[in-house]
Amino acid sequence: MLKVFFQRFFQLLAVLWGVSSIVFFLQRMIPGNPADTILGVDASDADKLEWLAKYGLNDPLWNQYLNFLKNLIHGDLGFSYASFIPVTELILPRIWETVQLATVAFLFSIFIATFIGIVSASQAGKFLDKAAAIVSLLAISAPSFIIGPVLMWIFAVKLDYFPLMGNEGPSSFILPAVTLGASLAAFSSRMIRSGIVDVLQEDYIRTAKSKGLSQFIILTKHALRNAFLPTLTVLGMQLGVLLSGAVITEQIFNWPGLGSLIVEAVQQREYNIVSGCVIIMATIYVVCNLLVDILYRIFDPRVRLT
Amino acid sequence: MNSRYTIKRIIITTIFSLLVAFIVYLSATNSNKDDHDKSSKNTITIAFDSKITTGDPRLIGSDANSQYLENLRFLSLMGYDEHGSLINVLANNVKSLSNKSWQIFLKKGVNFNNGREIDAFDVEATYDHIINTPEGFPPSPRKAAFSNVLTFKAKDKDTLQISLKEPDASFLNNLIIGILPKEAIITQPNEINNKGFESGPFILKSTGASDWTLVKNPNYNYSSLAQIEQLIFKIIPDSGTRYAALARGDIDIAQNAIDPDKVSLIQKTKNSKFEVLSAPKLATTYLAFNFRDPNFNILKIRQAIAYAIDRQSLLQFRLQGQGLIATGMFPNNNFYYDSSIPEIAYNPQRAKTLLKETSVKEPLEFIIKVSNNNKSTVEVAKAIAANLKDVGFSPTVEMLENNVFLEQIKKGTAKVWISQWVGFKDPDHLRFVFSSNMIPPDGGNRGAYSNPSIDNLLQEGREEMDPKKRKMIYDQAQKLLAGDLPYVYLWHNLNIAIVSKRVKGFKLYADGRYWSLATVTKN
Repeated sequence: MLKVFFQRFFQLLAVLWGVSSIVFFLQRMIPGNPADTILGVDASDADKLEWLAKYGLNDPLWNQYLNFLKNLIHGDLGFSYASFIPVTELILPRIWETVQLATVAFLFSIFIATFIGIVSASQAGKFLDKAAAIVSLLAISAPSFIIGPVLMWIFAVKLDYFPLMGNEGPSSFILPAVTLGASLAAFSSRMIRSGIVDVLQEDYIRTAKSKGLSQFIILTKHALRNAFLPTLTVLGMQLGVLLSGAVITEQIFNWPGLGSLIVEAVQQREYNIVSGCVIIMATIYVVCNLLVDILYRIFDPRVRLT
Repeated sequence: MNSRYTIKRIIITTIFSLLVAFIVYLSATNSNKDDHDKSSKNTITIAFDSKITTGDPRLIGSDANSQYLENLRFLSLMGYDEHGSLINVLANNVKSLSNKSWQIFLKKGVNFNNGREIDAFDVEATYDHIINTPEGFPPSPRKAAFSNVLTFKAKDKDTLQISLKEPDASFLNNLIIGILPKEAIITQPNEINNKGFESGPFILKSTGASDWTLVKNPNYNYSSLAQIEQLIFKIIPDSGTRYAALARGDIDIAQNAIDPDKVSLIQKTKNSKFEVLSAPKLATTYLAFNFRDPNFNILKIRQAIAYAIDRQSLLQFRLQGQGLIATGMFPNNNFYYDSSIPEIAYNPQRAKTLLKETSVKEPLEFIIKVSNNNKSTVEVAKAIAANLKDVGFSPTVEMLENNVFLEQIKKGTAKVWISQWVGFKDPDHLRFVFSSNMIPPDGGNRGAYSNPSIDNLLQEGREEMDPKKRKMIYDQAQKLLAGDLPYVYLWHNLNIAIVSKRVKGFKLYADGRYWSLATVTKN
């Protein structure tokens, strides 16, 4: 087990090095630089060069890259060019906001997916199952920039049930979490449903029925456990996506998370902030995958970590 | 077997408990957050469409929102009135010694929040930090504004002496930077807040990821104290969300932050809780030509394009009438507006004739480039392309990411583009845009337009100190430019503010500043 953890840890380091290097070079390849956005695009080249030189952004690319790696090893992500605030100070509170939103969205997805999956499977082929299929298809197909504004307009503007934007309390989570988790919930519910329907054909389910166990116990205790395994992999992968991919939802609901920070930073050519955000997102993604592997083993002891 | 299942149960129970604890934690922490009372008559909430990058006057660059807050927190030597004309703020009297030197006398008795009087040594220290940034401090984006300065000296605590290397009648426009006390100069930018360094009607209370809060400066003595206790600047990048926040009553003021179609909707709503204010803005939308391209170097082609564009319809139907037809760079309420230049009326027949008179093979194909910065410009470009197709051109519209767009027009790879100049305060802006010395990377003449007569006039205007004589020079230059057509001016954009009817006394400033918040009231 310990060996596996060390292996994964070195994999994480390799992923972080790869991702941060790609981001470092890609940012410098695209048109524009921080001086364009901070001094204004019409500042003279001489002024821009002088400004860039103070941040070492005129140095040869390899020098910049080596400095970047050296600072990264020391945990120094640098400063924002516009405000001179350390990047870690900007990112840390944002990570927490994103983690909170993604977790609530994830829990919402699991709960809804399990509930709808069980109901659909128990009513396979009947009205409820077909209705659930249509709703799921809609939720999978509709992008968050459609679901979000619609929910916002109905529940925040017209009915005034929930806050419109930002994180102002527990009720602020509901609309963005539903927006973020809707697609995952719909997709997972279909997986759970088909998993349970398959499992219900198995001999041991027939045995359970013949023992006189109730339908509820059969579904939740015997069928769901086995049907849930493939879904678990998807959910685990998606937790990483939720954490790193909440950009649009954060933008719509003005959620003060990493997603909205990275959008601003890319537009402003804030190299250090973009690198910092991407490194954090990559770490989260890799750690989530590791957790899924561990959970998989807990659910199915036959699986061995390698 | 049993022990393995026990461990499994313990792990699952632990995970479940942690999740429940996490939710309980969320409830507990978030319920302690400040609940802004949006209906309070002591608080005004303003919507911004992009972030406020910094609150330190030394670090403010091209970000307009940072400049707006700077203006409310820090007094400067000079400022602008509602029409965009330069006015004295901390400067009591500005004496011009020549076209490259001034003596500035400061107003007496104006204090920082810490109670100390603002003097000329504070001004000198602030500007000196920007020009000669000490080691360990970030470089100031404002340094370029002082590149022409030869000396900048406080003669005594009330008098400043400035001399330039080259004559520049527009130089005083650079003195709009917020003044810091000299003792603040050694303070790092991220430590400058809440130290009593402010001198404006409001001081900073807090900053967050999506809002900045200012409160009334109780020690403000430049003019009467602000009526409103608190200003909350909400940064809402999504235009749909900004409109929803307005509709919900979370926002009191949204200036240039609501899409034109939504503004029309608010105007048409009966018994609306908001009023729509509009006034000319220092902003001009134009279609520009690249003179390096042999086709667009031909005057008749530029004229044909100018006659082919139905600006009146575009303005009415694409921008819901939110603009004024432009005949030059300056809107008609500006001192340097030249009323003798006629409007180019829509005349597709004339456009066809002009195009036929050239030896260019029809249809002339080209790309109109626009930035993705402004959604309405993209719509406008498509409509213009349709106008041009009617007279024998074959344009296509290409929308580019803003930095890519700017790079292409600066490098001269774009042939025709639609863009906007915003916030120019002095007619010397014409030199920046049309002088042959200002072809990038030296300036903003991106189309590489060149006319020696224009160069001479614009240099003359830069060196002339008398406003009346300057006006005559710039009138002459604008007439020549109208004949040469390096730009087809489309319209002057308007400052449009949606203001809650509970807010009284909000005024629009040509450069978009929020200075009237110092005097507004709320019912």
